[in-house]
This record gives sequence, C-alpha cells and structure tokens, in this order.
Amino acid sequence: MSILEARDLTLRYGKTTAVDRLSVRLDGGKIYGLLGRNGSGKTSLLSVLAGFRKASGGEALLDGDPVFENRNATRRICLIRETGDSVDDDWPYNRVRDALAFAGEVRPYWDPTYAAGLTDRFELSMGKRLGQLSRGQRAALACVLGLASRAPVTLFDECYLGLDAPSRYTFYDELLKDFMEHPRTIVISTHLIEEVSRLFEEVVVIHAGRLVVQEDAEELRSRGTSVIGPAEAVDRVTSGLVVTGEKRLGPTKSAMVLGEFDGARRTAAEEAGLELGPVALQDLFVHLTEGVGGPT
Amino acid sequence: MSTITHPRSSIITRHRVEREVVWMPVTIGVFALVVAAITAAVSVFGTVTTSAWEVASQLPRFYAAGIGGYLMGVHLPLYIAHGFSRREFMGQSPGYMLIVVTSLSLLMTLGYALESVLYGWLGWEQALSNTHLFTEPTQYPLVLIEFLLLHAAWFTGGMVVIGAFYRDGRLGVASILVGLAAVLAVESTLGSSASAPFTVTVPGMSELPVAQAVTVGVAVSAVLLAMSWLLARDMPLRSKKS
Repeated sequence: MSILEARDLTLRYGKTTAVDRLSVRLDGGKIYGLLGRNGSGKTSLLSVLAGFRKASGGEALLDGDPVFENRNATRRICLIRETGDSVDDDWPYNRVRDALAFAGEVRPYWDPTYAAGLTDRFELSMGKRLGQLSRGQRAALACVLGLASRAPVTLFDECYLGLDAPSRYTFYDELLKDFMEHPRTIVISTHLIEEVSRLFEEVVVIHAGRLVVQEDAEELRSRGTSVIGPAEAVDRVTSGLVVTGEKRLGPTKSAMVLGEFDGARRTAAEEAGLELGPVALQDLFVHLTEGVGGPT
Repeated sequence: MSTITHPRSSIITRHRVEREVVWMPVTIGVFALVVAAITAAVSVFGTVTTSAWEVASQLPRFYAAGIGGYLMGVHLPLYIAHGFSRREFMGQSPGYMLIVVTSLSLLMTLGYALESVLYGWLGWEQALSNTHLFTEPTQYPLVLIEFLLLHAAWFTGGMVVIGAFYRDGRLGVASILVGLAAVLAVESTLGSSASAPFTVTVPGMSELPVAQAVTVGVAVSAVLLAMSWLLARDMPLRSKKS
C-alpha cells in the first residue's frame, strides 16, 4: 500500500501562504477525510500532493519518493477536481465516451468494465459532449473517472458537490463497495461532513494552511459527548465542563461537551434520564477550527 | 477485474497525431477549395496573373501557431492531470512539432504543385508577388524548406505565447512581443515578409542565402522551444470551474 506524505510542505501564491509548513502522513489502505473551512488550503494541499503544483517549500512524497515531476509517483495518483480535468477542449474528441477512452489509455489501473457500469448508474450519455453536461453530470463524470481509475492513491477534491442527494449517495455506496474490493488510499476533501463522515477511517483537519488534527475518526468522535434531555438536568450535569454547542427545543436541550464523562457524572446523567452519545463530527470540526491559528 | 496497462512514453505523440494530424489533409483540402472558389470568382471579373496560393499561404501559419498554442494551453494540462510529467510531455513536443510542421508544409507545397497544373491547364501565369527562398513556385525543395521554417517558427511561437498566457496574463501579453519578433526574424530571412501578415522586415536579415536562412529559422524555433520548456517545467495546473 502506498504511503503519501507531506513534509514541512509550504505553498505560496504571491504573498498569500495557502499551505504553511504542513506535515502529514497518509498510510495506505484507508479512506481519509480532509476537512477544513473555505480557504483553509485543502485544494492547495491536494494539488501539491498530486504534482499539479510545485511546492514552495518542503516535500510531497509517495513511498518516500518526490511526487513532483516523478512519473513513477504521479501515475499512481489520481486527483479528481470538480470538472474532472478531462477532454473538454479536445474537439472533436470531447464526448463522455472519449473521456473514458482517454482515461483508459493513460491510467494504468483503469477498469473499463467498471467505468461503463458506473456511467450507467449515473445515467450519463456516452455520446454527449462534455461542454453540454450539466454541473451535476460533470460531477458524476468526475466521480466515474476517479473511481474507475483504481489509482493506488485517489484524491477527491469536492468533486461530487454538484451531484444531487441520490447521486451523492450512489457515489458514497460505490466508493465504499469498490474500496472493500480494491483497497487503496482514498482522500475525500469535503464540506458535507456529516453526509460523508461514515466513510472516514481517519480524519485530517487543516486550518489556515496548517494541520490542526490527524486522528482516527472514532477516536475523534469520542473527544466529545452529546447530552440530550430536560434543559435543567442537562445544565446541571454539564456544569463545569467545556460546552461547545447547545440547542434547545421547548423543555428539551442538547449540549455538546468536550471530553468523556467520568463515572460519577455518567451515573448522574443516567439517573436524570439524560441521553448520552457521540458528538457529530461536524460539530467537532467547527469547534476545532474556531479561532485556531496554528497547529495543536 | 482491473486491467493494468502501462502507457508507452510515445503515447502523447501518437494521441496528438491520431487526433489532429490525421485531420490536416481534410482541413487544408477544404481551405484549398475555398481558395480555388475565390480565385474562380476573381477570374470572372478579370485575369488571374499571380499565384493565389502564395497569398493564401499566409493563413496556415496561424493554423500552425494554433496547434502549438493548443499543445501548451490544453494538452499539457490534460496530460499532467492524468499522471504524466511535464518533462515527459515537453520531451515529446519537438517530435510532434516536426510531424505537424512537415505534414502542413508538404500539403502547402502540394498546393503549389496543384495550382501549377491548374494554372497551366487554364493558361494562367503562376507568378509570385513577393520574394522567397524560391524564385519559381515549381522549385519544390526550396518551397518545402521555406514552409518548414515558417511553420516551425509559428508553431513554437504559439507554444510560447499560449504557455505564457496560461501561467500569467501579463506574461502572456509580454510574450506576444517575443513571438512576433521571432516570427518576423524568420520571415525576414526568407524574404517573404511582404507576404506575411506583418510587413515589417528586420534590418540586415532580409533575403539571406538559403543556408543562413535555414540556420536562423532552426535557431529561432529552437530558442522558442527552449522558452516553452521554461514556461512548462513547473507550470501549475489551473482549477477549472464547472
């Protein structure tokens, strides 16, 4: 399994630093969630990791070898951006079938049968020109190109945002199914955290171009506890703890608390009839990236 | 079941030839028919005394520049996005350029030959209006050499200009001047600047002997190729919006 790594990676656009001395190691055979707010540097990071851009400093490595201008590395990496970076302008060879044929010729791990099946599932017309596809259809084609590439390292940069909800779920199902059959390293950069979080084995959160946290998804979720029940009881049990979010509907209140409940507090909560559970990854993400200026 | 294939390094040239060069005879053929139709229309109102193909040959230079520009602005990003390196792509660009330029130049030379047959049949004189490496349009080796040098300069000029625009708009604007200067230098050495879209000649470079003109033409194209490599070697891929 391929190991993708950023070592002290920096990417600047003029005076703007998009990625700031970021180090992260993505071991093979996992689905990673790459989370960050708008402008946090997710796309920039993925662009450097895939060799689309040269780093201003530091290194992007695949199995210890530099990625940039290294065909042995880049042929094993597939970065899928929203438009799919396909044959749009290669007229007259710019139909859906041409996009698949082109990928088939240049992607070493391409599965044409799987690509054809996915094209049917997303109801894409083979004869349609890429310029005539709707945003959703473009996104679907991008997903097909990414999944059927079967690249040992596949990076999805919010490519599925244009899909409608049923198509997004089709994508998630296909991704998980194909990952189980053909384990590889998959990174999903997304804003739709709750929708995709069930797929994540590990989560990487970046903010202002810096790594905030890299952690197993379950462990990250266990960093917080959600408490639901009568408002008065919730307030009493959570008193003295760091409450990062609250919602109230009539007499019922839910609070998100950082850290695990200790034995006594858990007993008190149960006696008060409160419901305890894991926190939503999205809530943790919001908390983790609030006012964060650098690495933790 | 995955089919693991390893694309050969020549695949970029093969792709481009299959997708573009094969269409060139059709494109130039249609172009020749349009030129013939215009010439026929002119002959209705007067006598044709000069080569129409000589005048028409100005346009395919832009075609050569367009293919060179497309190579940098469209195909380079496409292949990088699909796992090729810039070095690999640009390493194949001289070979591809030679195929494009040779094909186009052969077709344009063939145009003179066909025109010669047609004019002879109609009793028209196939005279040249401007100076060239050749003095008669039937001096086919010299006609071919002139087209090769011209098209190579325009092809590589297109690469530099579009490559520069892809990187940065201001760099692109500046590169137009470089491209024009390079093309004008080649046009001047061939003595064909009067037939070019730009009628400026470079002092001291007009109508050089064939060997010197070839040297200048090859050197200019080589310099432009080197400049396109400088533009491409760390070119970042832009994000397209859907």
